[in-house]
Amino acid sequence: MSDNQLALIVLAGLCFILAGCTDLVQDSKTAWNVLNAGAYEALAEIEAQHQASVDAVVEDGKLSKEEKLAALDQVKATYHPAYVAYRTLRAVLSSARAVLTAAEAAQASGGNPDWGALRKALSEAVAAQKALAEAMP
Amino acid sequence: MSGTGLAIFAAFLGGILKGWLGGNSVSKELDKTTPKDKETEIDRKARERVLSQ
Repeated sequence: MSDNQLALIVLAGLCFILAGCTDLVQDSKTAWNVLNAGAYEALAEIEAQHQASVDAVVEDGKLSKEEKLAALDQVKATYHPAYVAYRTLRAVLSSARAVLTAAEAAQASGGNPDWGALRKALSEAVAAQKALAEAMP
Repeated sequence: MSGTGLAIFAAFLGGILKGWLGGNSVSKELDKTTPKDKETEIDRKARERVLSQ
């Protein structure tokens, strides 16, 4: 699944939630799970590409040792922003999870969940997911 | 139906089905542990491989 498709699905889910068509907490969990799964896929992709890039440098017989080390620094600089964006997404997802848990507890006890916080947390997660897609080399 | 329309329709159907089939599986999904990324490890091992050549 591409990042654009993932973002579309999550945004569609959020629109659905905001329209009040279904159980808000349940649908927020579904949206969170989609984002969480996307984060896992993105990390696997970053690491696979990163590994392939360093392998290409290490196995390049035309480069001297110094040139290889310089090339590895370049590879590192290329992939670092994606890892930073991934960590940001994980942190945002962690915060959103705490908000979701609180909303679930409030709903279970018959109280009123903090819908504003829930929407804000999921919107931030979508923004972080987009930032990660843009940071991919 | 366009790709975008299909994705939105699939999201609606998926959301409805997932909610309909029960929340327990979703709760379990929330409990997944956070994987540690391998950025440092990949860079370190690559440098070690070059230095040992």
